[in-house]
Amino acid sequence: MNREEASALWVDYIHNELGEEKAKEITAFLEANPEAREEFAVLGSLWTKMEDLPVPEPSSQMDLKFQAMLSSYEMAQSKRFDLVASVKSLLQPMFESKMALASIMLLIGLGVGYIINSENATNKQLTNLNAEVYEMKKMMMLTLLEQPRAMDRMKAVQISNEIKEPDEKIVDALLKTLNNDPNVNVRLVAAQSLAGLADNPIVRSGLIKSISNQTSPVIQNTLADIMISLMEKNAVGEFEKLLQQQNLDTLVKEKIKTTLETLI
Amino acid sequence: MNYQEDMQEWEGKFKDEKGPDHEMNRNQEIDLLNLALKKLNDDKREILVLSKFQELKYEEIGSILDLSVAAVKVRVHRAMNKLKTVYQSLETI
Repeated sequence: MNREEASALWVDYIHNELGEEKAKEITAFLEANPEAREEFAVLGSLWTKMEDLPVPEPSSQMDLKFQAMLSSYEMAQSKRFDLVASVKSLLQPMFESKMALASIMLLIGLGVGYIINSENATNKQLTNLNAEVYEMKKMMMLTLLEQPRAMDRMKAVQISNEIKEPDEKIVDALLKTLNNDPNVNVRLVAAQSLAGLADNPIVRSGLIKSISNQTSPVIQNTLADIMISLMEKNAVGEFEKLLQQQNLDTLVKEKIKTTLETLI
Repeated sequence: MNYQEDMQEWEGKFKDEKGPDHEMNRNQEIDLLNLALKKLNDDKREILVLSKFQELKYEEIGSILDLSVAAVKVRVHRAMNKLKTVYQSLETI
């Protein structure tokens, strides 16, 4: 093993994810190379110390990459409310057993026959199924929003995008996320999801009220873009309030001034 | 309990005790590390932010940055090496 190969394994080394063979190889290499040994030790210590640092905010460049990731994720999810996929996901665990599969096939056969015979019954079944899927997605979203991992809370917001007509509880959960979630990326996706629901007056006023609550430049910027796209004149007061904040980012200040010029 | 056992118990208690000097040094180290992180260029800082602070898996970082998992790991190592250099240069100021 040379220095370059050892360096490529550093991440696995600190996470204890090297296989037994590689672990032996790297141990032997470090024993024979005091410089590399010291480097591994110093980097390991810095990696541990980083746990005490406050979470840095993503840069504007990162923001763009993050948006690109979300867009591609949304495209993959774009078959909104695909009924076949919904039924498939509901039945997935049962397919593990052949007996269950046979029963399902029989039930589907009976179901198809029944559906062919009765148009009204079909509509009723579909309505019930839609309602069940709606409740299931809603429950999943609200549960994921409570999770400690930021990725889980982002998934929760993504699920809310798949719900055609979100009810008051979902809107309320999204607004609370926008105002209170500790992770800036989660707040960002919540702001974007709410922007898609801006026809709802509760969402619109929630977005406006949130402007002066936000401290992150990324979110302040996003809310300014949203208000411009909605041409929401009622947001003027909140932006003026935000401008009064002493520690406001210089770039955000400029952005808000141009936003106000557009809105007034 | 004999005398020796009694003393061993007390030694154990004092061994881990850290005074105000230790706390001050630790805070200083964290401040320096924070400064070093801010001084990294965007690419290096972002990969550390994603891997260390945003709780993302290396596969997820790879899909965000359009890189293979191996490439992500190499970049994390390079970013850490740069962080070490910057941190050590700040320590000597």
